[in-house]
Amino acid sequence: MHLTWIDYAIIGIYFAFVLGIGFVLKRGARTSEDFFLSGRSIPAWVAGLAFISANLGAQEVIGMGASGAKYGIATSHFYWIGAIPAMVFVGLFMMPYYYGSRARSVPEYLKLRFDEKTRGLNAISFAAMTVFSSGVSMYAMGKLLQLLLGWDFTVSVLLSAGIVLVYTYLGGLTSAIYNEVLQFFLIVAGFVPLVIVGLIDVGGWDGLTARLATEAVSRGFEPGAMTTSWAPLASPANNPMGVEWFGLVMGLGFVLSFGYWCTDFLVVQRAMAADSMNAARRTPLIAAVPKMLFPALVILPGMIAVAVAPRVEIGFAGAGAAAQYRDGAVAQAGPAVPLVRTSLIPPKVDETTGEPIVDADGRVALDYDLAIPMMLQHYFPTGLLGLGLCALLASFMSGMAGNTTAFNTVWTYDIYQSYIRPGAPDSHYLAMGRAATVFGIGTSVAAAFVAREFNNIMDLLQLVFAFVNAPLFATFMLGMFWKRATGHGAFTGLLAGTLAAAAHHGLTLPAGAVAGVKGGFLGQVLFTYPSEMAQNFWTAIVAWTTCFLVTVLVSVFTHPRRDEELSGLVYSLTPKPSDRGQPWHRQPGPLAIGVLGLTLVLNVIFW
Amino acid sequence: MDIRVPVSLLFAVLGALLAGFGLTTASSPMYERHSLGINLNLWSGLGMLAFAGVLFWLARRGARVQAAGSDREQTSRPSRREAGVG
Repeated sequence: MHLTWIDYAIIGIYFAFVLGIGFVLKRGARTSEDFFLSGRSIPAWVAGLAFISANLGAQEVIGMGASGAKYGIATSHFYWIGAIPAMVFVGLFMMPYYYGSRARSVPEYLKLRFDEKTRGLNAISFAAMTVFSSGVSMYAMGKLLQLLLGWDFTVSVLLSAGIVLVYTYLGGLTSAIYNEVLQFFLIVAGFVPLVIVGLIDVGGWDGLTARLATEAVSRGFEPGAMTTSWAPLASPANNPMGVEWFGLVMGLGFVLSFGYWCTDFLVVQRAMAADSMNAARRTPLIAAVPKMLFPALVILPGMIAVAVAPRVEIGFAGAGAAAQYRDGAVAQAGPAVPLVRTSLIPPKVDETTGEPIVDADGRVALDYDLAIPMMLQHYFPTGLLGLGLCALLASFMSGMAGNTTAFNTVWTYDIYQSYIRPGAPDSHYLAMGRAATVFGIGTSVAAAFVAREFNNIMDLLQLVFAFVNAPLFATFMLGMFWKRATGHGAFTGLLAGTLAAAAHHGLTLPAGAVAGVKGGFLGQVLFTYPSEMAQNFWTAIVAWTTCFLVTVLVSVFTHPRRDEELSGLVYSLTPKPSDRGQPWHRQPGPLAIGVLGLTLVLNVIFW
Repeated sequence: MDIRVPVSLLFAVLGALLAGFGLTTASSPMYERHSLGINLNLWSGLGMLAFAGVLFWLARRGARVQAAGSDREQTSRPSRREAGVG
């Protein structure tokens, strides 16, 4: 991929704007509430776009493109089942307690509703998780830029981290949110031309369906397996994801999705910064509209990448044997390696030998994560290529800023102010917030370098965090809708749920995997799942159920809090928020119905 | 600050740059090679300029509505005080 002056100019202008917004907003951040919660002054549509943009990290864009190439349109389940219903639920039913309780963070809500130890558990695991996941996505980005453009890993990591640091340090959450809105529009602007030109090339949706039917058949599925979303879910053997509908709906659609959208402070913080209860409730509903349309921008390019053959003459940074394979050139290796590539997806290359990796069946493993970058290289002339890279950088930076602002708030309010230094003047916490921004980004950068050296450590950490997150939604659901739930119940439920997740993972394996990070590490494999995704969904279901049951059981035998203490925190003890006097398009109820109706239509169209 | 202003500014600058570049490279073989003969730079640039225009117009309208709103508030405040509400 070769860049010219105009690509660098576009990227440079983007950097200048992002930094400029930080400098302009610096004087707005005078108190800790300004810095951590934007002084609760953000209009609903801005909070909504930031809500979606903070979630739209580079891993989302790259990963969903990769899944589109691997699984086809069924990837849209991560949006239409795995996001929209949960976003509607958090807006309609949970925001009244998050926003109404005046909690400044999600862990702080747990403190108000339950007790100190539940908050501590959640705050510490969340803070550690955001820093590490930010590091992992930084590593992925650095590696990608190195591969595509030959940019030095250290330089691209430090440069992008440095820019995010400057604007979040100066303007706090407001600066992060405003930049997320800007980044949202840039991501759309970068991907819309890609989808349009790609669709024209393959002959529209009908042409794509025809081409992917051939692909699906060659992988041993029905012709429609990659272009229909629900029909192939009758059995895990019928679809490339290897899941059936019940595991998908319960595991992804209920446990994982509600656990993320309803409890993850990274997104909830954007709604908490809204300027009124009405705006806070509309934030996730407004965000749901672009979210449901995003499959067109991130999944479709991945699907098109499978259906399009590469041109031989286009070069690739990263010289040597690897480049030869990527160009579709003739390879000199053994008979197992295909001689000419039929799709834009390049083979996975062993980093030390430069040879393509061949799986157990003798087929070349494909590097699906390169689907979107290969699409950019294939279709974009210089100029637009700069804009496309800007879109990737923007998605990376918005995700990282989201992690940073969530981390510095939880660190300062829930850990520092609670356990290390309570009762200091507000200016002290503002300064601590800025210091935590530096510390958080610094630790993420360190984690990115650790990830480069020891990939396994990061896999292990992500696995541990998945165990910790899986049961969370049961705790919040019981906390908000059952006034009898107690702090002891919540705490033991969370611990039991995490242990249950670890135990389930340790006793099961996806088909074809060896015991280790993929599961089965407890020495005995009780059940083998058809795919890793199916295993993950069921781990989540087991964790949620355990947490739910243990919380209920322990709560029944421990002392509940008095009703008066729970007003504003629990459904039955809180007056319903009224939207009287608002026009219908500003009322959460009608908005939610519209969003759900549209999602249903999309599901039916691609059934 | 209204975020629509900097966003429309960024899109105007990038859009003008891309459209201009597309015009000057209109006969370049790279469009044939990459984008099916479509001058993607020109069209994307024009699209971004149009979006910048719409967003800037919305921001201006928003500012006018807000100014009108605060005017009304200022004139209504003395009357409320007279009525003994403030």
